[in-house]
Amino acid sequence: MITLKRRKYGRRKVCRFCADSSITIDYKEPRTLRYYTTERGKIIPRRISGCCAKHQRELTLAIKRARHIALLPFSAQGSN
Amino acid sequence: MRHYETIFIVHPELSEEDTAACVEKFRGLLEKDGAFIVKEDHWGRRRLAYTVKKQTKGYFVLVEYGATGEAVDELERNFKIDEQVIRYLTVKIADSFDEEAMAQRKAEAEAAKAAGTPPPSEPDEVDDRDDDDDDDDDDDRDDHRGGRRRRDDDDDED
Repeated sequence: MITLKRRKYGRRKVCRFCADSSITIDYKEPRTLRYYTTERGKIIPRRISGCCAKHQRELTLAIKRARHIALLPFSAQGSN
Repeated sequence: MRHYETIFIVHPELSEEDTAACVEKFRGLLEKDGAFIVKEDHWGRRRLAYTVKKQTKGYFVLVEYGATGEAVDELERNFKIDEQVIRYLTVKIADSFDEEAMAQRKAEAEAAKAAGTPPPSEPDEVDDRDDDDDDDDDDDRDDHRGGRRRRDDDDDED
């Protein structure tokens, strides 16, 4: 019953990359990727971001590449 | 031949000539190994997300090319030796490399560059990017509490 209720009120999340094919996942675009990391720099999990498995996998890889070449932080602490 | 893309960060404290010479050296290295360079893009000096070799900025260069695996190995070996390069990343774009199609793409890009207005002076662009990065940092600070709350939610669900 609880799950039913939750489904009724909860907003269905749709994968942004499936909905709009014009957005590409590219490790060279930190601005797009930043949306999928927390303020601390962690990758936002799929259950929160609402991405489909395929795109979440691509995102994760892109974020990790961007981190390696210092386009995204591994971790941001305070006024770093 | 495979299709690769390499980004490397040149030390920011080098003079313009030294930076150009450094890039030239690696381009020559690739060409010597029979690589076909499709695109060379200088992003210019950008802020790094974290310090690398005690530097907060870096000169980013992106090169797209078709080459053999040995050529990439040789390039990366030289990146490791050269202290002017503070970070590099090579990504394979495709398993095959169509030289003719890429030559055409390169010619088109160059024609567009020649026909259109020359790219705006680089310092302006670099400044814009820096500003954006600063804005992001500000956001980080403001939303700190928000981030913490979200993480607590995560824990509850787990």
